[in-house]
Amino acid sequence: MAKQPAGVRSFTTPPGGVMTREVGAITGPVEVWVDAGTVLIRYVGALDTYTLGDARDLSIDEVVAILGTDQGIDQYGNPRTGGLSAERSH
Amino acid sequence: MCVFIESWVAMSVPVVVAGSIARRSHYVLLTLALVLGGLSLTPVQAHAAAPSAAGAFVSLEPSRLLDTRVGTGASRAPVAAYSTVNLQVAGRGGVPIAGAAAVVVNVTVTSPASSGFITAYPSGTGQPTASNLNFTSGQSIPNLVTVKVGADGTINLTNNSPGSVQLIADVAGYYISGTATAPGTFVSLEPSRLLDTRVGTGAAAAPVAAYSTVGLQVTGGGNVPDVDVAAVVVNVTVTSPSSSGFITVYPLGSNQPTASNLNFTAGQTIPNLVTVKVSPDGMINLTNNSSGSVQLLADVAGYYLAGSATEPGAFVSVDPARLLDTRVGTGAPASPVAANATVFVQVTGRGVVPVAGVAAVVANVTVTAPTSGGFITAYASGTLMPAASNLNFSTGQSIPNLASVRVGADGRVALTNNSAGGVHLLADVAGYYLGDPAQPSGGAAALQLTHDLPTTSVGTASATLNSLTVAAPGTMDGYSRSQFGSSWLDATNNGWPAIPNSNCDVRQAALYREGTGVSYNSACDILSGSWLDAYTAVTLYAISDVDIDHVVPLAESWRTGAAGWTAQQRTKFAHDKLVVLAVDDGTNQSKGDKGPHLWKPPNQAAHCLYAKRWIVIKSTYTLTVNPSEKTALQQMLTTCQS
Repeated sequence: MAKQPAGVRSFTTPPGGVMTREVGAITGPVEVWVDAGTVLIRYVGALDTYTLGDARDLSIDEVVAILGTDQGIDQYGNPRTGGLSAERSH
Repeated sequence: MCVFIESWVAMSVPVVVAGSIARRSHYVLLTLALVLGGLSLTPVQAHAAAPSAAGAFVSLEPSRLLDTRVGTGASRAPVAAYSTVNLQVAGRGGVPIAGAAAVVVNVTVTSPASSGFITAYPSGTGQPTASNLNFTSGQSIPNLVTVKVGADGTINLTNNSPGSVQLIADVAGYYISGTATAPGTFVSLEPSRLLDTRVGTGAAAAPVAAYSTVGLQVTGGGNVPDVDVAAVVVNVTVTSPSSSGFITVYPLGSNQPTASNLNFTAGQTIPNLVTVKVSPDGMINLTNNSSGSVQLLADVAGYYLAGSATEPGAFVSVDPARLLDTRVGTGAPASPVAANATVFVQVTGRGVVPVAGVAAVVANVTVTAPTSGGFITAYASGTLMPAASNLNFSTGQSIPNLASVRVGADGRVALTNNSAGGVHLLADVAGYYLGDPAQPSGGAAALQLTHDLPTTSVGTASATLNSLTVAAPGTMDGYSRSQFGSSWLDATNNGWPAIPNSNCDVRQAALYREGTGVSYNSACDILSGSWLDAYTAVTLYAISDVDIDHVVPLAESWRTGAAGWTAQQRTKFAHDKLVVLAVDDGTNQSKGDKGPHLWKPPNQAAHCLYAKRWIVIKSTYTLTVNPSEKTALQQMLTTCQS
């Protein structure tokens, strides 16, 4: 198990997952935290860390609330992917 | 920060970060729609209006309207001597019930019991003195025909021979009815003979001598007006040639182009439809490129109005130009097109054809030096090959036919060699129709998923799915991208063929496999090409828009069995030619680590093959499925067409 950063929050993503910059959408149990103003994420238990985006003025609880919101279904019937950056949500 | 990339392609191209400029207009528009608060996520595409002007041409995907061998469009029986097939064209194959003035159909004769010719003409009129298709006993031969549609929506095809024939007709498009007035629109005529050197019609009553030219006045004759004519559609027939050669037809006053319209051997009677620009004074040249004399006939089928064409479906005639010659490497490599292979010919942006706004081209396609008999099918790149033919040939034969072919979204036309041997192909453009190119079809894009997938029936896929262990997904404990290898490994050492050469890594081999017209160097750097994406049916033109997907994602494999594998097993999985697929990067990002219960390809036509490929991968690697994943796969298999 990797080092546990301070202020980490665990939650399970909605069905569409959350969009990371490095590997696209990830789903399932994850943990997020803020490091130097950037929101980071990883699968619970995994070694790799991915970037979600700029934390702006969001608290970690607000980040978890945004990422934990189910984005509904797209026109193809797939659950939409959530995230902190609308640009990646196509 | 540890950055591993699910698709390692990002290691060799700039990593795309959130907030970067979207790279395709498709996504620029989509992002704008989101920014502007648009609720629709449907991609916005700019479209020219559909053709609507009288005389505008609507190009269609080829479809078979008549096949007397199997009973399509007429009785399942040969057409008897001197009898007529009355063929319904309105309301079939994309031709509207009402509003088609004329149709463009490729008519093929096969199994004729004796020699003769076919005449095509509108129903409700008498058979004209004209011919469309000449044949000898036993010959299979096609010709493109432009024929007015009768008031009842039918056309007549008369077998002018003392024996029976089988007839096939594939529609390529139609002209909109009404009085054509816009430049480039078409006025169809009942066929009439403008030239017959045997009897002195249109020229002296004498054979055309070796290497000499007939100048033919086409305006003012056969209901063609004196003025305002840009181009004519004429069926040209050679008869009684004393040696082999070819005829080139071009505007009078222009230099003879490197092009041919009609190839013949000594003694042969052979026709071909010709679309040719006329000179300012309404004349065309027909040059006999043979060492012997020939008799020439020309029957006019209609004309295009002069002026600067702007309407969708209007025709722009050009001086003939050679777009393809596989003998010398024009438009494709200088080698024969192999058995059952397809050559993609770039049409737009070449010479006289503009880069954009081209719906279809009219080109004379010639086969030469075929090593076995067969036929050529021409169709829009990115669409499925239709059940149609343009050009039939027997071993060793040189034979042309005019083709009116839709252009794909990538500006290319596909020519498939449906024969067991190699052939050389030539294509000479005569003009083009304005409008939107054909969009890639979902079915054609889905075929990308067949690459290196063993043929798997629905029944087999379903049984294989039922044999998989159903289990809840495991945890991601210990997962790291590097557990599957830290960079793309050599292709040939990982089960891939040495295609295009032996220096490729797996990413390059997949880019080549899924690409069209891919160029590369000796190090197997992929330089350019286009990629039809299985997941969206969109054609990509930039390598940076293409990701290498693991169809079963690595993280998904971890949760369903790969966590317990050796590093060697995981590396094999990540490089398996069955597991990887070159796809659209944005779509791959949305897919991420999801199984088919959470993500299916937006291209609905790909669902069957996606499910098959997923199931075969899971079975090959003894991965588990979860209950909702299994249900989703079962549903996707119901979309398979038997």
